[in-house]
Amino acid sequence: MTDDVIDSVIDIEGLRCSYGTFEAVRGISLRVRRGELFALLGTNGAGKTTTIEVLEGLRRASAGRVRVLGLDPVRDRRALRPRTGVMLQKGGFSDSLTVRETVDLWRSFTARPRPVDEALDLVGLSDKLDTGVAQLSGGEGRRLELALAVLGRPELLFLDEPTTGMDPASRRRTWEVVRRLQEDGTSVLLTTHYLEEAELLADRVAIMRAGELVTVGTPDTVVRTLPARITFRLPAGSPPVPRLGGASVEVDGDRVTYETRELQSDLSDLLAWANGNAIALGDLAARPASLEDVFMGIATGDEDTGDNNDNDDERLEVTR
Amino acid sequence: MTAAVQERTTGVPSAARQLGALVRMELLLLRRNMTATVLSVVTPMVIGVVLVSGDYDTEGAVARTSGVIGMMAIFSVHHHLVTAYASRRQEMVLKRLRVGLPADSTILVGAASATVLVFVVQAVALVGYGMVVSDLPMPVNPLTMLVAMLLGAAVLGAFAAALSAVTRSSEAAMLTTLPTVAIFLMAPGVLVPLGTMPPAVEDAAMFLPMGPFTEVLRTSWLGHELGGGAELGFLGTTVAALPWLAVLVAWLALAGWITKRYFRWEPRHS
Repeated sequence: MTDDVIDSVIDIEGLRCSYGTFEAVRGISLRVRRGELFALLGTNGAGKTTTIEVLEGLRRASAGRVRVLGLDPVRDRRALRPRTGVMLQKGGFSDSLTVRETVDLWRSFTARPRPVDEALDLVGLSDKLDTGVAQLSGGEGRRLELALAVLGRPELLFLDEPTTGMDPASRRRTWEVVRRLQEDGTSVLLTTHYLEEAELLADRVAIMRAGELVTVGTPDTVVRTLPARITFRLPAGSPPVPRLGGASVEVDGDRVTYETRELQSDLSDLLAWANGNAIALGDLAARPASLEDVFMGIATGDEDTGDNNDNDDERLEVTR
Repeated sequence: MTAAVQERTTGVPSAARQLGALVRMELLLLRRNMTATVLSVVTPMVIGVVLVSGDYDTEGAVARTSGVIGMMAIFSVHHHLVTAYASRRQEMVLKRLRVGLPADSTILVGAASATVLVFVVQAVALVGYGMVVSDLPMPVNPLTMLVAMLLGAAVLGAFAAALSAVTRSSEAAMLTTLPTVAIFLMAPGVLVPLGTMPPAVEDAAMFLPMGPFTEVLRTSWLGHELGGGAELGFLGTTVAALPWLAVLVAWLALAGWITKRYFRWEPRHS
C-alpha cells in the first residue's frame, strides 16, 4: 500500500454502472482525500446517486475499480460499515417508534455509539426525544437521519442531499454540524442540489452530467473558468457602448452584457464612459461568476455559458 | 490492518445483539399496533378452531389439527411476510438498515421474527385447544414438533422473501402469492387429507415443504405413524423426524439461495 492510497478515503477509477441497457455512470475517476469535504453536483439523472450507492456498497459497479478507505465496498462491507456513516435521501424510519426508540435501535447497530442525548443535541432535536417519528417535520426528520449517520463518529460520511426539504434554520444548523465534524477530521462526500451549500462547505466540487464528470476542482478554480459579468439597461438615445479591455459585449435591445476577466478595471472604464457622457445606466449590476453559472452552463449542456444571459429566472432550486 | 483500524472494528455489536435489537423493535411495533396484532392473532385462531372441530377420532383429530397448523403457517407466515417485505422495501426501511451494520440475513430474519413468533403462539394454542377441549393426548415429542414449526416457518418465510422480489407493493402480494400458496396447500395432509390422492402422487407430493411439516407434527404428537404402527417414544419420533427435517433444510437452502440472488432492497427506479 502506497502513501498515496492511504491518504485518499475514496478512490474511483473508470467506474461504470448500468441498469439494463441504460448506462447511468460512464467511466468516472476521482479521488477524495482524507479530511476533505467533497461535493458531487449534477441535475437529477446525472449519476450522483448511483455513484454514491456504489461507494456505499449498495450497488455493484459494472466496470472499474472502487476503493473506500482502501477497501472494496461490496466485498468488504462488514469491515467498512463500522467506519462509515450514511445519510440517505429519504425515509426508512418506522413511523410508530419515537425519536428515542429509533436512536436506541440504531445504537445497537453501531460500534461505540454516541449517547442518545449527545446525538440529538448535536442536531438540535433534544426536545423531541419522546415525539413519534411520524410527527416530525420534514426538516426534523432529516436532522434525525443526520444524527443516526454520525452516531458512530464515522471516518467517512456520505450525505446524499442532506438539506433537501429543510427550512433555512435547519439548513444552517446542518451546515454547522457538518463543519464541526469536518474539523474533527471526518471526511465527507456530499451530493446536493443547492449550489450555495457546495460553495460554502466544499473543499472541492465535481460536476456530473449524463454519467460523466465534467469538472473537478476547488469552488474557486471551477468558478474562475468563467468570466465575471456586467449588465445594465442603456437609455434610449445613448451613443453605442464602448469596447472595454478584453471584455466581450452583447447587446439585446436596451440590455447590455459584458463578460470580463478584469472586472474592476473594465467596470471603472465603463463608469467613466457613462459619467463622461452623462448616461444613467439602468439596473446596473456587476458580479463575478458563481458556481451556479458554471453549473447552469454544464447542466444545460452548453459549456460556453456566454449564450446564457437569460437564465437568471430559471435557476435550479437555488437558495439565497 | 493498522492499529487504528483494528481499534475501530472492535466494539462492533455481535450479530446476535443486532438481531436481538431488531426482534425487540418488531415486538415493540406489534405492541404499538395492538388492534392489528390482536386481529392477526385471533382471526386465524377462530378459523382454526372452526376447522378442527368435527367428529374425529384421536388420529383424525391430530391429523386435522396438524393440517390446520400448516394452513395457518401458509397464510400467517408466507402470505403475511410477502406483504411485509414488500411494504418495508417501499418504505425504504430495508435500505436504511442495509447501510448500517446488520448483515443482509440479519435484516431479513429480524423482519420475520415477530411474524414467526405469532405463528408459533397460534400453533401452540391450537395444540392446547385440542388437548383441553377435544381430549387429545399430550404430544409425545413437543421438541421435534417445535423444530418442525420453526423450520417450516423459516422455509415459508424464505420463499416469502424470494417472492417479494417480484411483488411491487403489498397490494400486489394478493396476486403473486396465489401460485405459492396453492403449491404449499397441495402437500398431502394440509388441505387434502392423507390417503385421498393416488399413492404415487401422494408420495411425490410429500416432499413439498408442508408435507414433512405436517408429517412430523402428526407422528411426534401421536408417537406413532398415522394408521397405527409401533409406539416410537421420544427417541423413536426424533429419529423418524430427522429425514423429514432434512427435507425442510433442503427447501430452506433453495429458498435462501433464490433470495440471496434475487431479493430487492429498494423500490425499482421509475
